[in-house]
Amino acid sequence: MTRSVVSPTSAFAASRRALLLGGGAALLARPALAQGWQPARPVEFIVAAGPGGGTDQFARIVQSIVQKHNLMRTPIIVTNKGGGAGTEAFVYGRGAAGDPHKVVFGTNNVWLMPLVTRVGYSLSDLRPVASMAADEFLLWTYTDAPYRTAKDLVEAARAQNGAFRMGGSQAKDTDHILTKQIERATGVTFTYVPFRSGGEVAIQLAGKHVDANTNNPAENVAQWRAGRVRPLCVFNPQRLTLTEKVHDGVGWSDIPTSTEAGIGPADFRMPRTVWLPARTTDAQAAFWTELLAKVRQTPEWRAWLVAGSQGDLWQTGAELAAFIQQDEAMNRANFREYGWLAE
Amino acid sequence: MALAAAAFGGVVVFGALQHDTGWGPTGPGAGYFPVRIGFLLIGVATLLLLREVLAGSLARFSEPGAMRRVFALLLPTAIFGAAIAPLGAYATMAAYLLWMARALAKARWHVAVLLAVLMPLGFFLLFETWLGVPLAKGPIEEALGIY
Amino acid sequence: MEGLDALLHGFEVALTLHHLGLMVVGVLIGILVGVLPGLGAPNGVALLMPLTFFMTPVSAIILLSSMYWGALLGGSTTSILFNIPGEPSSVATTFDGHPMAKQGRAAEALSLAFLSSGFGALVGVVTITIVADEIADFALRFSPAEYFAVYLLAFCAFIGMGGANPLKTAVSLLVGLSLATIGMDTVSGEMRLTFGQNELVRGISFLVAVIGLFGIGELLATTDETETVKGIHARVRLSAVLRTMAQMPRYIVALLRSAAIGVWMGLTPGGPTAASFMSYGVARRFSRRGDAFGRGEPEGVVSPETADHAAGVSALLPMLALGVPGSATAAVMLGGLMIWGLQPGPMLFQDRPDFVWGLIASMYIANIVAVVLVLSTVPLFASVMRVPFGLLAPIIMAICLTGAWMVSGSGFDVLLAVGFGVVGYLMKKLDYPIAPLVLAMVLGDKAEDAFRQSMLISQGSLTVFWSNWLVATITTLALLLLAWPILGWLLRGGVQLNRRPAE
Repeated sequence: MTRSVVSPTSAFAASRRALLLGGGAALLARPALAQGWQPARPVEFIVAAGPGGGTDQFARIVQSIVQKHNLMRTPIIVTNKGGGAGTEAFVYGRGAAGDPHKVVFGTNNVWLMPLVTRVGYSLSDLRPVASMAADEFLLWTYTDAPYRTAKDLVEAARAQNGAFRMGGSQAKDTDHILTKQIERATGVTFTYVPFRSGGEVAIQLAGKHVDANTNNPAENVAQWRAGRVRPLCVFNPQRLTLTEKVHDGVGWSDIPTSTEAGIGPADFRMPRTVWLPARTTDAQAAFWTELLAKVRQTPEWRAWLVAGSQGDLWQTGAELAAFIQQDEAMNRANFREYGWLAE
Repeated sequence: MALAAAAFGGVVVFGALQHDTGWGPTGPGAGYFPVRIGFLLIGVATLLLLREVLAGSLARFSEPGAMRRVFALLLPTAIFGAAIAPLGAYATMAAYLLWMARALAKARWHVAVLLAVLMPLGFFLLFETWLGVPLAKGPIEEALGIY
Repeated sequence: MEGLDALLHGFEVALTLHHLGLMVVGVLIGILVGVLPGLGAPNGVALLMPLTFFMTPVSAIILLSSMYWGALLGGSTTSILFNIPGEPSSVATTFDGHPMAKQGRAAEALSLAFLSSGFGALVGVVTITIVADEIADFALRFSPAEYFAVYLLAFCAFIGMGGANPLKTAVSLLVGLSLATIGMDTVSGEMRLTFGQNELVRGISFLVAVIGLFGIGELLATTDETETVKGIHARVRLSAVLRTMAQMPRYIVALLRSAAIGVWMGLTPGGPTAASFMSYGVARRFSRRGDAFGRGEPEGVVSPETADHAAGVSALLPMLALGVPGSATAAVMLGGLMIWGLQPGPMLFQDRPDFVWGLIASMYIANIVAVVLVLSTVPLFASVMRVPFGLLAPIIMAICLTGAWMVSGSGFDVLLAVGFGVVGYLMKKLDYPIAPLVLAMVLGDKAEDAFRQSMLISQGSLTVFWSNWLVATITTLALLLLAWPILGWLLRGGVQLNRRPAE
């Protein structure tokens, strides 16, 4: 279904008009608005994850902000397409090529999934609009575990010779990749145990069924506050900025960085990304970029970032495209080494 | 049925063989269970088939009249199902209900038409406008300007 | 008693006119989405979510949880009337509920279902009131090995109940297990049995299969059986509801047993679906009227419904205490909690007692509200059965196919539902039991994941399933239940052998 409503004021869009106009789109042309392109019908937000969880919240918080602040006239429908670790949503995005009323919400899985498994889309089927936040990764262990620091933990794992159990959500996804990177940086091997969600992993660690995990702050904070798990280091070159004390006088800003702790990759974060289908115009992408920029300014958005201790990462346009390209190339090389690449 | 089950078992085995079917040092691989399930399915289904053949109970399935009634319901439904994605849900639903009310229920015309109009309309109001769940749209809905 | 004080305070929070109004609205919306197949409670919760941003968290959770109770009851309605389980957990209700409806006892079946739901829910909420403080610690004891043992227990309790031809049961079970493996494998991250098809990547949706196997399959089978296409003439009066109410004490044993199973499965990670299947299986095995099960036996409605709701209610508390959702509905509610600025987890009970106890108190009230409201709809729904079948069948078909579309907005799913309808019809016709297939689809991949996670954790040693008293008890109980027919047979000296000649 190729269809688009283009504004006559955009020269660039007009040049593509012949290519894009399909079906009965001409019937829908409305008087041009003050500037650029505007959505002409209900917009669908497609979440590349099931209900609940970070990505789902990401899309729903954007939806609620847009509605609350009246940033757009047309209604928004949020649908979850979490099948195949989110690939279902991206395949759907591919099918909606040229339709600027479909906005896909994901993470870096958009470019990582095609590397590890056979999927029904390629990166060129989607157009990156913005990266709005970056979720942090921390190394956690349960509270009465014998290791005080990340270094202790790594040495203990070395002594256990591969029997050390690292929990994570999904196989060959961010948690697994980070575990591999820690292994490579330190030379130890872990037994990686994949679960369905970060929440499940948090409980398994609190119940001492695994020895450590690499959860995001939001996934583990409840168990930390209850004093069942504690953080050892954060995979970010800078310490977290939130000074609030969480448990026993320790807060986010007290957690050492992985470099300070002397283990693993210095920088590992997961961007939260927004995409349009391919073959949408620059004017259409610009509309969404501007809208999301407005969302970013609201207090609700700030509050959501703080609640999940997520970093502020705003990238758009060429900068974002370059970042994706670089990250994809780096992971491709790593995955080849792990034997994960799907041929 | 047993034959179909056996065939399905074959497909499962074939699909599972593309994965690690062994029991590694850290437990079973991705194909371990599927491959065994598939083989078991073939085995059990063959056993069933043998028993049915031996008992000679293959012939009787259904009286012809019943089969005709089933197909009178199944065929239009299958066509309706196949048409939903390309043609949209509303127009096809109206056509389907009209046909069924006339052919199957032998309803009077005004009842049939009423049903065929009211039900899609009700669905539209309920799902699209109130619950915000989009149903399938096709060229007919586009032409009417409904998204 | 500290808990009682907290609960009384909770009632103060919940028993305002504003909150009672929200309960009524929530329950009504819930019944509506529960009745429509494919549009389950998760959709309802997601749809109401934007509204809740303008409420206090207590009001919001009362609205959403009331909607959930309504949806559970609505799901039972379609199970009984049309053999379409609106929710996975009401599949077991179809086994005896729908035969009752076909015999013209729809009003009785519906009333039974709702009343036993209400009973189960109350037992569930009383239990969580008592154990609220210990719940998080108990739930933390569950490692993948315990998860696997619980799934195994549900499987064995249901499969061991016997009844159908064992070979045909095996085929049904194995097909279900195969279907459950389609899609992405959690442990290896590989796509299994998708054969490169995009439509298969998300796996076979349980709802699509159930809409086909039960809903469409039942319609086809009914067409096959009945020459005359006319409605069932059931006399529907409110007095049927009252009469059923008076009969309830007769089922007290079934009610108590099912509530116990339900609460146990809700507090452990088994969940409502496993609870209802298990309760049905156990009831059939141990009831004096066990032989009448599957042909419209009231106890076959009471048992799964009671367990379903007892589990549904008692599962809500571990969710709040741990922050891990037991179902899709719970997942959306959890997401909501975070958006409202609450942090689900062990500390929620200390940080926001007004919220937690307000919710618990609202569960007492909302469940009563829900049962009263839904009972008043019985005459309305039961009279639907009087519409001539020739007219009703296409209407239900249209609802089924629309429901299949709504599951994930895919034309492939609609065709799949029709295909499952044909399979369901053939299975019914040839005496293959459908229930094992459904149960295997629900629990199969979860059980496999839990098994393989246990193996990773234990470095491949099977002794993990007997490594502590908790997991050892559950595993042993499961194996005992599975072996029950053989044990019973041994005990009775093989008398049964003569009673059932080869077919």
